[in-house]
Amino acid sequence: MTGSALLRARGVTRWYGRGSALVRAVDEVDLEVPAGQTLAIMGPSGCGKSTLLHLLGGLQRPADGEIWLAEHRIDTMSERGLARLRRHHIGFVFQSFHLMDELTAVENVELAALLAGQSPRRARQRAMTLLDRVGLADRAKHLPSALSGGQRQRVAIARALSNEPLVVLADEPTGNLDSAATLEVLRLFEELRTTGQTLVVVTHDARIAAVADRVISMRDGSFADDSQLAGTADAGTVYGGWR
Amino acid sequence: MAGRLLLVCRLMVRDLRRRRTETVLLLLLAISAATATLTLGLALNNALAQPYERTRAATAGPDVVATPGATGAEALAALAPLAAAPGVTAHSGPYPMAYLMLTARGKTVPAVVQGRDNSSAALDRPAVTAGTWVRPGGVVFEPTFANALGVHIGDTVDINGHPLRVVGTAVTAARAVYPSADWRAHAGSPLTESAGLVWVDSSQIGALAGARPLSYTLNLRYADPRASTSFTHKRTDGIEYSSWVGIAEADGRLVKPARLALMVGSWLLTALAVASVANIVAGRVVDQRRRVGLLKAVGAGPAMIAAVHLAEYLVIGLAAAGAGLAAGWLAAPALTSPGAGLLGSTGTHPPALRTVLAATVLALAIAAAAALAPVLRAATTDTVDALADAATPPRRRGWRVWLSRRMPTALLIGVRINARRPRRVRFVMVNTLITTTGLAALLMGLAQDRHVRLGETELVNPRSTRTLQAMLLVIVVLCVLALINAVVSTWTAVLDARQPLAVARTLGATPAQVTVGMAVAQLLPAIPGVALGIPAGIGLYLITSMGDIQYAPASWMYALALTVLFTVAVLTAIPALAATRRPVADALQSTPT
Amino acid sequence: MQDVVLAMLAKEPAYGYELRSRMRGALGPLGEAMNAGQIYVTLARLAKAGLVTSERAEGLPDRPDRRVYALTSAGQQRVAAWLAEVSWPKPDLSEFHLKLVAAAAARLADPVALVDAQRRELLRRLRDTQRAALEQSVDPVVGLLLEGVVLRLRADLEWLEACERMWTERDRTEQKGNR
Repeated sequence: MTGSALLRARGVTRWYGRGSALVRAVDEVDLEVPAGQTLAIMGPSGCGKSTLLHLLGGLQRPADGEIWLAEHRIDTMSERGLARLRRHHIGFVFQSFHLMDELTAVENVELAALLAGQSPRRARQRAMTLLDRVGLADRAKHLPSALSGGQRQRVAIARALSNEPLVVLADEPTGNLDSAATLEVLRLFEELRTTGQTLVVVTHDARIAAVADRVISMRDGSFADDSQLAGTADAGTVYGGWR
Repeated sequence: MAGRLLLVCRLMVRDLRRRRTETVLLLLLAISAATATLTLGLALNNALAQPYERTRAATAGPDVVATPGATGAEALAALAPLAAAPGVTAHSGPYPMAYLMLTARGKTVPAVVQGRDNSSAALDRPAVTAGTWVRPGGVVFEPTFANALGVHIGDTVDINGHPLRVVGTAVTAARAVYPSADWRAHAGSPLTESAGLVWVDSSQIGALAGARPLSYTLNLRYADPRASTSFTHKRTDGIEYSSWVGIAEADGRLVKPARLALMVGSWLLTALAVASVANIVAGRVVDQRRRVGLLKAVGAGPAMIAAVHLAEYLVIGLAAAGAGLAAGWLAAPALTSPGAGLLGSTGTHPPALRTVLAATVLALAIAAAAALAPVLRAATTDTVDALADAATPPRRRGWRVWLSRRMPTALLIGVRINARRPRRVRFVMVNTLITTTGLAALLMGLAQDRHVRLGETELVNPRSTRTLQAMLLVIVVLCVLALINAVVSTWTAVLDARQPLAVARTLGATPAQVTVGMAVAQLLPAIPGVALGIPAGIGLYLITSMGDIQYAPASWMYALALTVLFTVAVLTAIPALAATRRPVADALQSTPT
Repeated sequence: MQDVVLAMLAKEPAYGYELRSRMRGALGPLGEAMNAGQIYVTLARLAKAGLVTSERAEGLPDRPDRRVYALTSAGQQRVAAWLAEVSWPKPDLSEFHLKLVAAAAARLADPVALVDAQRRELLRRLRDTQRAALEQSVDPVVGLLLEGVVLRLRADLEWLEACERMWTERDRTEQKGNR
């Protein structure tokens, strides 16, 4: 399979259960994400969007279909190969942050770099730079339990960025956050978008559209609508929309 | 590489620090107890062989002791050619000996009395362990014998009607210790009786013996070691020969049952330690599952995950091995030294390499087995499932739930709580089973006749005392470990059941019903544990003991069963009662979702 | 609009252009769409109704934005009444709903496609509003308004989701029935 897109999926399928209880979580999905695009995959809970994200990141394997990240074919890759790929080319952001409770913010951020074999000194430098970028340099020595939800998610984002991944995959990144913390995360995503970071966000929070180049609506395991959000609605229609 | 190493160490240290009490203390304690008993067992193993040898070396013990059946001048004549026989490199004696009756503290017992003086001997120079060596008017006791009689230096004893002052205690390798000193009604008799050994000044022995003729004994050393190791006892030409091998064996019999008790005890302790380690580890699996998933998500491979977990458990294992070794080694002298009748306490010597290795291997094996679960899981589970943090949902056992509908409230609550946590139920059962087994075996030991007949008098048998001491030691460790296990398991059970209990209370259950329900939940699995443990303990005792065995009274066993069950009930009721004091709403809210 | 202008005059008399810039400030990016002449048309209507008076400022040309406006007592009463009022702008969903029903009944268009198009439009609006709210420089008072708009749009999007589910299912059952 060839193509210019960074992340490509062809005929990807994954199901749960069997017989009459068979659920097609992801049903023959085709997807191409060009480098530098911010893609939001939206849909009601249970539509299969999280499963799709896990398949794209190699956290789960598809029952059928192919997935490519740059020149790496993910769906048939060995567990070790996947670990290496995640270490170097994929950054994950989760709804429940998944930080290590026993490590401080900066230690959580440098986790990925240390796993990738960087020297402790360089890993620490990089982690501090990233924490500064997400505005948490002064919280570097705090444990996650001493951080707010939004701060924790920003630490998680910094960790995802630590090895300059080809793509950042985010699963409901604002799902556990209040509206102020959601704004913090959105601002960060907007900054990533302008720096050309490829980003795939799965969410049912429509606010993510604010930072997306493209929005895909998913229903029952397949794509219902795929729209580029080019152009700007004029302010009058926004204001008058519900008035 | 340095980075990854740093990561492994950091994750290990942080995790250990975070879960201090539960993991570190309990795991450490459980594994330490197992290694400590193993060390003790091995130490006693050495104690069996080495002290005799040490004593033999220190006292220039003979290879063979020759005692003619004849008495008086006839005996001396029979012994005379032996000292000059070919192959004999050294000899001492002949020393006069008499089989007399000794009275101390109102007890009259048979004693083997040997006459010695201050002149230096080539062989068999008894080592004085307390007081001084023989002098006219004084008597020196073999320490085990002194202990059994309860005599001390300065006491006055009476030998064949003659009062003598106890001036010291000494050990020898030329004759087995009390009660195997082989007393005879008359010299040359093949029938021996239990007795102890004492020394008196050789100038006095004739007067002490009075009308009884004196026997003589000659110590010999041969150039060829096989001349003494090929037999234990033999009788040729009216002369009885005892080799050092036979004497060592007789001395060894003294600690053999104690050693066996320790060995069996260390199996029990190891089983208990493994059970509690398994329980602790299983409790951590949920947490570790998430950790594993998280590490996988940021790109850690199976090898890295294995390293992180193994490192942690291996550190605990090593620490436990050290603690266990130290504890076992310090406890060993308590079992070997008091009145051992032999030289040398093990505590003053560094543990043998074999012991250190065995204890370390045991500790590491338990720890590695504990680490294995999450590591295997890491290799097999989907990262997503691991991250989902899905603790295996409490299983519903249909029939138990059905059954519980037909019961009083308290029982109903208890049964339902158990139905949710089959693992803990098994653990409570194993815990009570092992503890009861040990206690029942101890009761059997207590029920035995621990006396030995010396003539017309019954004296304490050092062998039984020592065995009982060993059993007590094991049982105390066992009980401490079991108690800690019970506290931990009941406490977590109560924490775990807080929400269902709170729900039960919103439905109208009283705090008393809830508390009883919790106690019932723990008692139900404890009952089969106790019921199986008592016959298991008796069986264990029967298998490992020799000779006539008396059964402990049934009432003791009933009391044991009730005590164990009562302890379990109380241990549960306390935290449950504490939990019911909290308002229901708090309990409902504080439950993590 | 009339009530808003009256209420803004309640503090003190003001020039027309002052009123206009005050309103635009409070609305933030949403105020940009406001027509410049709109406020003077409103002021003229209010003057006609006797709710405001205006007088020419000294030394300035007589243009509506150079006049100073003030409330009359009737105007003050009207402001008080408006503040006590509890009316609430209601989003009119029935029109779109009927559009879908009609389209489905007459087979004019696929209702699901209509929903998709509408969602795209709402997403675009949501994106623009949310982007405006993301600006660091945005005034917190204005941010509050933007948040309100975002919440409304999210509610509308959720409703569209329900619409889509409903019409997709109806589509499916009808196809089965036809077979």
